Amino acid sequence: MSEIRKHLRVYGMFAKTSLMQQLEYRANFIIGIITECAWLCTKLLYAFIVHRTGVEIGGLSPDQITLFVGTFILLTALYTGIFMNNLGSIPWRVRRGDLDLMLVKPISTQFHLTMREVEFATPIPNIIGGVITVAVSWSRIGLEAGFVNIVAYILLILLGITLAYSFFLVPCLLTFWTVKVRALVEIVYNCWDFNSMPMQIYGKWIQRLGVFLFPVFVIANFPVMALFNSLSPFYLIWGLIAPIGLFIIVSKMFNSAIKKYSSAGG
Amino acid sequence: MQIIKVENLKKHYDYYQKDQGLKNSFKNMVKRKKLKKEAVNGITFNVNAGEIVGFIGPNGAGKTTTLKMLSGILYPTSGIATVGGYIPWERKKAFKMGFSIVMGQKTQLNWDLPAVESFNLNKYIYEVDDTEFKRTVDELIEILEVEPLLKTQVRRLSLGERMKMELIAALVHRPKIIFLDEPTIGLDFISQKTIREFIRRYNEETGATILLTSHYMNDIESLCKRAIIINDGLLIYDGNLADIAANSDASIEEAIEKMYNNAESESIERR
Repeated sequence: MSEIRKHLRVYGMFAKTSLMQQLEYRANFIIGIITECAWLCTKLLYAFIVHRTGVEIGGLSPDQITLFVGTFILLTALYTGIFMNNLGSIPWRVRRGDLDLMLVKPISTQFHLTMREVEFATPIPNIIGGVITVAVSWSRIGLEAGFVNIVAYILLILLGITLAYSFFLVPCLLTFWTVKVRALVEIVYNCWDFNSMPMQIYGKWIQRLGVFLFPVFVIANFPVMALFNSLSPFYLIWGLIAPIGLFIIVSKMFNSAIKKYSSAGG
Repeated sequence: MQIIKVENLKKHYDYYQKDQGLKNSFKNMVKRKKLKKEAVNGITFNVNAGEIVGFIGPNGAGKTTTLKMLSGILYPTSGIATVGGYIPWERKKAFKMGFSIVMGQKTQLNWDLPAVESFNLNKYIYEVDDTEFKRTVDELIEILEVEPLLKTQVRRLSLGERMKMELIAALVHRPKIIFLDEPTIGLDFISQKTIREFIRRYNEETGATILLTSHYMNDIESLCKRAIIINDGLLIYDGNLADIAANSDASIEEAIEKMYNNAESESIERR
C-alpha cells in the first residue's frame, strides 16, 4: 500500500469518525447548520446590495463582484470544513500533551494533527450557497463554461486553500515555542476576511503587500481573476509558486517544531 | 537478544520559577531566571527480548520522561538508545509499526464513539489486513471480557473498562515492544488484577517485550522478575526484584523505600 493511498484511506476514516461524532450531538449539528445559514444570508445580502447599487470596483462589474463573493463563500466552506477546527485546536493539543500519542503513530504527524477532524455541519449551507452564487453570476457574465475555464478555476481554488492552510498554520506552530499565542492566532485569523471583497478595493500598495508579502489576497482573488483573463503571467506563476512554496516551508517549520516539543504532564 | 539498549540517556529541561503573588507575576514578565531540571540524568540499561521489566521510582523520578524518549515522543538532551534496532527519536515508520505505548493518564480513544471505532481507525493507521484485525481484536475482546461494552461510547465507560479498551487499541497491530506507563492507575483491585493477568498472558503468548511502570507493587511483584529503580533521574538499582529484600526481613516495598532514602542522602552529600 503506497503512503499516499494509505493516507487517503486514513483520511476517509477521519471523515467518517468525525461525521459519526458530530451526529452524536444532534442539536449541536443542527444549530451549526442554522448559524452558518445566518452567516451565508448576511454575505448574500451584502452581495445583493452591492449588486443593486450597480457600482463598479476596480473595473469589475456588479456580476463579476458577485462571482467573487460566491468564490469567497465556497472557499470559506472548504476552509471551515477541512482545516479551521484542526488548526484552532493545535495550541491546546500542544499544551495538554495530546500530541504524544500522535507522534507514535506510523502516519505523518502533520497530517494527523492538522487534518484529524472534518467539520460537516457548517460547510453545508456555504457549499450550496457558494455553488449557486458562482453558477448564477457565471452565466450572467456570459463566461464560457468550457473545460479549460472550469479546470483552471478549480485548480486555483485548490491552490488557494493550500495557501490558506499554510498561512494560518504558521501562528499555530509558534505554540511550540511560546505555548500560548492566542492573541496572535486571532489577528491572523481575521486576515481571512480580507478576501470578502475583491482586492481592487484596496490601494496599490496594500494589494502588493497582500499578494506578495502576506499572500492572503491570492486565496480568493486569483481564481476569479483567472476567469476574467486579468491574471498576468507573472501573477499566474506566483499563484502556483506561493502556495506550493509556502507549504514546503511550513512543513519544514512543522518538523523543527515537533523536535522542540516538550510534552506535558510528567 | 537485547532489544532495548539505553546508554547514558539524559533529558534536561529549561524552566523558570515563579514566586507566589501577583507582584512576582509582573516581575516574571520582565525578567525570568532560567533554571535547569535534570529529569533524566544519565541512565544506562538493556532489556532482552521477551522480558517484562518493572520500571520503578517515586513521582517525578523520570520514569515517564524515559518512556517518552524510548517512544520517540521526546528528544533526549544527550545519550544513546535503540529500541528494536531503531533510534526512537528519528521517528522512523518501521519503528512506529513495531511498538506501542499505553499511558494511564492519556487516551487515544475517541471519546464520543464506541471504542470499536478507534480500533478500526488503528487498523488503517497500522495497515493491518481485515482477517488479521478481526482475529486479534476478537481474541482481545474475549480475554478482557469487554464484549457487552462494544456499543457504549467511551465517555460512558468506567476507568477500568476504558483501560481495557486502551489496551486493545494499542495492540491491534500486535507490537513486539510495549511500554505501559501506569496502566492500572486509579483502578479498583479487581480491574487491576484483570489487567495484570492480561499483560502476563499477552507476554507469554506473543513473546512481546514489556517495560512497565506502576506505583502498585502488586503489579510489579506479580509480573516482573527484574526491576529497574530510578530516583531523581538516576538509576539506583537494576536486577532481580527478589534480591532487593533478600538479606533482610523487610518487604520489597520497605527495601525500595530505604533505597530511595539512601539515594536521597547520597545526592545531598554530593552537593
